[in-house]
Amino acid sequence: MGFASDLMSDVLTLLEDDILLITGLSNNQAVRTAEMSDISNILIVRNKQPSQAMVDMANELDIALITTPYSLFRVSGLLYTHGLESVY
Amino acid sequence: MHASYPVMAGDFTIAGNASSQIKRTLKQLDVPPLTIKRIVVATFEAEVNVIAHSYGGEVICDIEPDKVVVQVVDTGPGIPDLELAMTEGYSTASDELREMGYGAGMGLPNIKKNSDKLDIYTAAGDHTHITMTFMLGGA
Repeated sequence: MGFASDLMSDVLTLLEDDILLITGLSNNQAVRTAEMSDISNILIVRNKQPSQAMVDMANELDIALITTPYSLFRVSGLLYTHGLESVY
Repeated sequence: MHASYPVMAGDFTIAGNASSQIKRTLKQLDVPPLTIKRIVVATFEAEVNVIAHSYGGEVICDIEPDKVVVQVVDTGPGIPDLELAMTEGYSTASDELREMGYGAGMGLPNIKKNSDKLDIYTAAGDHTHITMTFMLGGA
């Protein structure tokens, strides 16, 4: 299942396990939120590159960071079309 | 088990440190994953609130055989209208805070949703003291 948001407060309202978080938020807070929500995959959109601090933190917490040049809308649509289900 | 963690106002680089340490402890104690998530998400929301809105404070965690009690206490300035702050979508967050992905106005409502019992003491000009209780069903 996938969930797309730039607002970590919205991500924190989900209780589903191990979803793909698709976000344009490329900072430590995205990794922290993933840690709290048991999310192990973050897809960062709009070609934003994670900082070294963010990569280090993700490494330590065993969280994978993926980047794409596509927009949040486009990549969400593509993944949905290929079978990734929405959380709600 | 009793532990407390200081939380500094305004320092988002360490946001989540207290919640992260509590998560590690709960994992070691074999608390069910969904219960851990509820505890940690609520604690993280409260921790971010202290950093974002208060003069600083601490997170106090007490783990007992049948329940986990997390208290989040700050030194002020208190919440002027608690009922409004409990409303989903209501937020007083700064633009800086929103850029970091917070400030959706879901913090306190989400804390309430995830805890089995929530007590809040607050008053404008005073401090805020949140007590969250999570039952460990059958554990």
